[in-house]
Amino acid sequence: MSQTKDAVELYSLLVDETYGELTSRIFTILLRRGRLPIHSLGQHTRLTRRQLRHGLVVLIQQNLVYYFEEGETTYYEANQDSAYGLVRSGKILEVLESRYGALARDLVLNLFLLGHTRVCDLADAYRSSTESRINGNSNEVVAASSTGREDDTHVFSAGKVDSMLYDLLEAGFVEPVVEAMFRSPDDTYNDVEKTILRDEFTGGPKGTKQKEQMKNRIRDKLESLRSEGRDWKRQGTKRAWNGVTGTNGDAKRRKLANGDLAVNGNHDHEDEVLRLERDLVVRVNYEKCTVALRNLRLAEFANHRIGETTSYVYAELLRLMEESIPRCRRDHSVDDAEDLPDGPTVTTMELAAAISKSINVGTGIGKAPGDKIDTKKLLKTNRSGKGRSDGDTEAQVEGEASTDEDESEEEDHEMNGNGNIPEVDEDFESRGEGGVATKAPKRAKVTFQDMPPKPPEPEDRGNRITQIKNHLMLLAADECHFLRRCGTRGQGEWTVDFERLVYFLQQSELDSILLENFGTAGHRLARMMRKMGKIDEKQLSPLALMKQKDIRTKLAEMQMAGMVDIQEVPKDATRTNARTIFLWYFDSARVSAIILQNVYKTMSRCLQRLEIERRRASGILSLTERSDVKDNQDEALTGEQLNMLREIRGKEEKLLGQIVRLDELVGTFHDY
Amino acid sequence: MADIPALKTALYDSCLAYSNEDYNQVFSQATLFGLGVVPNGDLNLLLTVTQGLVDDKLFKVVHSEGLGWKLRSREEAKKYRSLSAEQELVYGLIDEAGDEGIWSKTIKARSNLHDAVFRSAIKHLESKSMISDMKSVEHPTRKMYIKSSIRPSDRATGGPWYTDGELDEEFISMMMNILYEYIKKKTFYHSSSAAALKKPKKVKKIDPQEAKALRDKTLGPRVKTEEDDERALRKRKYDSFFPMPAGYQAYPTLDELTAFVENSRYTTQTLSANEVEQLLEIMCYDDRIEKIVSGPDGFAYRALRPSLKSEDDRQSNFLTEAPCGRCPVFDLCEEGGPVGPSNCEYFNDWLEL
Repeated sequence: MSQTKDAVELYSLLVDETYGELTSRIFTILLRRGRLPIHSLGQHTRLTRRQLRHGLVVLIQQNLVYYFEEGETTYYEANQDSAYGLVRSGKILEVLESRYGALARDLVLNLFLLGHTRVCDLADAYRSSTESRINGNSNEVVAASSTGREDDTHVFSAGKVDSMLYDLLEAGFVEPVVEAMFRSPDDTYNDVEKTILRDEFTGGPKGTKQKEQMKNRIRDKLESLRSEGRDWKRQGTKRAWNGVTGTNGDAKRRKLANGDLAVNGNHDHEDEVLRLERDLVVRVNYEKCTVALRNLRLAEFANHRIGETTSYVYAELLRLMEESIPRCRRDHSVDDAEDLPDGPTVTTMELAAAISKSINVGTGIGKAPGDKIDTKKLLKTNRSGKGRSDGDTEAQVEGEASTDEDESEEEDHEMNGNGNIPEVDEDFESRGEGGVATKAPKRAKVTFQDMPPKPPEPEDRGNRITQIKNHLMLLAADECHFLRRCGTRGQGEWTVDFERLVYFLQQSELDSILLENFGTAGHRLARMMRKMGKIDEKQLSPLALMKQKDIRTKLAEMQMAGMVDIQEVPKDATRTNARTIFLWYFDSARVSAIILQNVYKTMSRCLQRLEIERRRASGILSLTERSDVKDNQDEALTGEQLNMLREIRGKEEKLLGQIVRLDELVGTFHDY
Repeated sequence: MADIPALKTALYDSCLAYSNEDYNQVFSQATLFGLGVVPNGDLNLLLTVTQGLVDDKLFKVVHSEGLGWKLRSREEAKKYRSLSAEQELVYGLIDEAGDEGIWSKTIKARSNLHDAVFRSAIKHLESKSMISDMKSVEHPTRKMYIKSSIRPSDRATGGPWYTDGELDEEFISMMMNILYEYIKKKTFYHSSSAAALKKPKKVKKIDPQEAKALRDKTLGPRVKTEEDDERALRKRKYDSFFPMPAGYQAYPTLDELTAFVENSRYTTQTLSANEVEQLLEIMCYDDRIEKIVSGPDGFAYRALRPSLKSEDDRQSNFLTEAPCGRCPVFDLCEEGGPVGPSNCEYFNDWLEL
């Protein structure tokens, strides 16, 4: 539970930045001292009871504080995860906007501002905020800076709002609030344990068997508590359909048949089938949002390692999986590491159906003559690794090989000069152009179709699946194991081993930090040590082909920064230098922890600097806050003032942007 | 009494013939009798003859599984004969060390000679250019001697990576770059269409913010450089490198790369497969290439995509981007401390940019 100084500093700065000093003062004390009842909270913060209550209400509203009632007293405890979530709000809004459009962004923005909210309040808030929309909402800069555009001020109907919320609930980005959420996980655990102990194992469990049994019971109970919200939502919404609007199953079926929820035209409550219960209380589900963010990061990683088109395919696959992944990291008290099923799987067919037509999956992979490709081995090893031996394995592989040939038939003579065979290098240029001219130009971005679509061909679909499969195999074959093939259903079934993949991601981040800070030499040495474990100083020199002296200097430098460490093994009791072996090693876990702390600290410094910059420019900032200036800055301010304003805004943007980017690292090392 | 000198010559010649002029072969007593030069298995006669040869420095006494003798070439023996006893002792030790060379301190310890005597002996030998000093890579500070007639061993010189006892980093990195270029060419499919078709899009966005942007221009100079264009060009080039399909079998193998180095005219040095592998290993550690299971030999090498980017294009890490990530006094930094966010110079520079 204990948090490092840097993390505590960051959390309190974040709360301060978003909700002001009163709340951050209470929050900091709670972070530093752990759980406290209200009277000791008063002693430490030197705030009056009234102020305290005021602050705590805000904190609880935002789910920044857990509370727990024990007899007469109520204990309060800081919730670090949601405090950190404040950084991520901007990014979450961005993701949601790209997926669901501006309406979802505005709704969730309001949810961020309001904390957990009843549906009707949220709808009201949305309406009032859109109607009186003004530029540059200055106390929500974290969010505003990354959403940036506030162009469409179109007000959506209440029915639209409801259906959008329904979508968000369905996807899990917004979740209904249940009571357990206000309690810290530890309290919940203790509570469950106590109840089970009392009800089922009077006098404590006896023997290992009973202990095991009890553990399972606790786990089941926690699991059911966690899913409580989800079930409740479904019942609640169902009841709402029947109770409030009086529609019955027919309407529901009609809606399902339509499929498209975002029907255009102005629907009102009366003809909109979906109507959420007005009293349903919802909040943003950070855990789920983190899953979406992780997917983005992983797709970026795939782009980094393999290529652009492949990363689009991968992103789509991850999005399909997302529905069945509620959170990134397993909670060890709830989930059992062993008996969890093989993560969610996606088949090639499903993916092919889901993938946007605007992505040209035909590009992005080099072409090679069929005899130089041996996917058989690839598929086989993967399958044997999984311990599966399906009867149709051979047939599948055969089929694939033949399609490969078909496809490359006309390409063979045309394409195999891709720089692999030196003799034909001279006319490579012309052939390359001729060969790929038949392919549609590669798209820079996943956009909506803004060019005339390709004439549909009969074999287009089958072709497309093969092409997608090529990308998938590329992903699976990479050293980082983006994918694992786990079955043959639907042209191949794929799953992602997130834990291993995130480990690779972390290593790649570490490498890039080492490369930046310690140059090629440090990078090389660290990676050697990571691969070989502890290694004698004397052996490094011939292996790395570097001078002994340089190595020593570099290693000492890295040791100072805590990146590598040394172990001395004396050969005898005298412990002289000459008779001691010096073993260097690189401890990834420790280095990751150090880096994470450094990131926290860096983020704090950025926030502090931001505060200072604002204070320096307080004159101009307070001027813009004036009601007469606020709406027409251009006329009211002089050129010089505008320059100053732009300068401070630029700095704000830079600092906040940096914080958001640093968050990517926190995600990699902490959350994903 | 037999003719000792004649017997000596006969024995020496037959030994030479027997060992095919291999001066490292050890002759035991039995072998010498077996040559049939000394009649009747006369032990005393053999002793006299061998002693004579040892005195002439043509034989050298060694102890391996009992007493034995080694041959010396006639020229070598001549050199020995020209030396005084001390000089001979020193020269003998240096000779024995062969191409590894010998440390002066070891000579002194083994020969038990006085410093002055030792030095004069060394001086004499050097002036006759019978020995020369050498540097060993393993012990760069030691003063070593070696016979002038032989070249130091690879272990002493450090093999192809060393020039004059110094690690030739320039050569190493050059060889790595050559190998990398070769592997790169074989790893990626360079789509010329992707490079050519994607013209730099001159985006002329007409949006409501344009007016504001125009106004901004008049307010302060906005730095828009040619750099962006160049960068875009490089980016396009980078994007036009496509990976090969999964299971591609034609990535270069170690044998292929060794042959490539051998046949190329980049260096006169011959690099063995082991040495090329050493370079490739290092490139793996540098995260430029990776070793994969593929091809007929089981292993092959391929270049990694991120390594395509040049140094300035490489996306710097988020942490090192901010001034804190590179701050030398980051550990001290604290609000109210000697350095802190409010008086941070790095932040000043960074924000001014």
